[in-house]
Amino acid sequence: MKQQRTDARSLTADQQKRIEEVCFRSLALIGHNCEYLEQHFDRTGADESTRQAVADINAAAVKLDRTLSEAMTLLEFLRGDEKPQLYPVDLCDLLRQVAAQADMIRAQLGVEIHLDYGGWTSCCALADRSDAELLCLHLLSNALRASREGGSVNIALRRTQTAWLLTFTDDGCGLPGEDAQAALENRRSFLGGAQLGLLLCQECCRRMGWSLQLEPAPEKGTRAVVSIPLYAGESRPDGTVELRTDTETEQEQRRYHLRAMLVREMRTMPERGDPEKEL
Amino acid sequence: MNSERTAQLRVALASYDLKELRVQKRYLQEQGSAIECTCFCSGEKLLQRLQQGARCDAVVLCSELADMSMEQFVRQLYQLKERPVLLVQCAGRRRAAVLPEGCDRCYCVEGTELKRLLWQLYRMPGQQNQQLEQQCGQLYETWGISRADINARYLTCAVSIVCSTSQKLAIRKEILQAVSEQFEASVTAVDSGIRRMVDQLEARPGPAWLAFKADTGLGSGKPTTGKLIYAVRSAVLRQKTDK
Repeated sequence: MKQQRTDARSLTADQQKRIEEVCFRSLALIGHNCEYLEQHFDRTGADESTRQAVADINAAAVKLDRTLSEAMTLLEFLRGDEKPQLYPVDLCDLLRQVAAQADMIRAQLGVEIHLDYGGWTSCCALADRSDAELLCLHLLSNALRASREGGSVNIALRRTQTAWLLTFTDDGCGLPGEDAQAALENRRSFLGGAQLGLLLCQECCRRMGWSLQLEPAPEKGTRAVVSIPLYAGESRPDGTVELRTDTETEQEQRRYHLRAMLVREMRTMPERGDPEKEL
Repeated sequence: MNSERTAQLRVALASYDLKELRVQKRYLQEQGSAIECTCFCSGEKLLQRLQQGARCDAVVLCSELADMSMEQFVRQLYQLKERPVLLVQCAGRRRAAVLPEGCDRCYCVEGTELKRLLWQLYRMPGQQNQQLEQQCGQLYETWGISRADINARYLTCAVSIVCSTSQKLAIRKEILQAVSEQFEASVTAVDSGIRRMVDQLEARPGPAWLAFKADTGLGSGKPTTGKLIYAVRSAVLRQKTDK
């Protein structure tokens, strides 16, 4: 009886999988219907408000999908059933993939992405590739949410005696609590989200033995600093299990996956504007 | 459709979310009667407009605002000397969590459907409803029924709901259900109340009742609840057009 009560109070991996299946199938169905309607409207015609309503349904579904994914990943991490798969990963390569999305970001949000390796051409660190991607994606997403059109995000990599420092610096709203105006700007930028992203980043870091710190940027905005222990193995990633199997197709798939995640992320960005003028 | 429209109701919609504002504004303006919506993401800006005396019959608080929480907005709104009716969309929240104890001219819109908001807008005390109630009351008095009669009030409430939209509504599921929620009675009680009113009128039909039935095409038999509601609506709208 006691055992049953304990089970009822916690969510097992199987239960979580079933919940995910139900939710994601429903979300996929909403997405498919929106896609069908958009195609149907192109053929038959529809007025602007009908198209807008379908686009808004789709955006809401994407936002729900993202929030649910974050919550489920977080639960998985906290349950600790699956240990991270740590292999030597080239961080420069990972960052190049992130920076490859700069054109899309500039076109959609009007924010510039600058990448600065500090002279390094490769940087080997022990990481779970998908955790590292998730971390970069969320740190970039946070920086983009905080930024305004015309702003910029700098991604930099530096080596100290004990660690690699990966920083994401934006010139946006800044951290809350600095002053009332900053708190208000921060609220405007992040209101409406479940704010699980930062928790997820912290969990990704914890799993890989990295650390994360947020601090005010030197002039304006916020800087996220990820501290990554130096890898004591080979200085170049050649010969590692992770990179030996890293074929061109896999690299292409990763780029596509990262781009798809970023596209989804950008669709969840809040719409900005004056409602009196725009609605 | 324009001839069926009743007096203009000015509504301020408030939310941080432009998508939410867009769908609510379009729904209210397209499907309701003459409702004019202005949207605000900033609570400060809305409060400032109200202070400056902008005409507004109701504020609909859809969610948090870009610059303040719902609670902060409600507190500041209640400090204004002249304030419109406040409708708060309570989806998933407890009323007490948003609305201060004992605040007047404030209503909670339960559920998430937009038609509930529409009904609530038309049920709230205000010029438009008073006008409708007055017209219905005058009509009932010609039939020899007091406007204060509970069954007559059920009927008026049902008429105000069907007047609020050009859509055809389901009698029990939508119209009577909304009336029952308003009066905290069961749907059956509302339905049988209106039927009793018809029975009373049919037992000793006066000339005004017979003329009303003839004018609205109800025929000589006993009208159903649904037919009576729509017949009173036609009579009320016709009066407006004549004026």
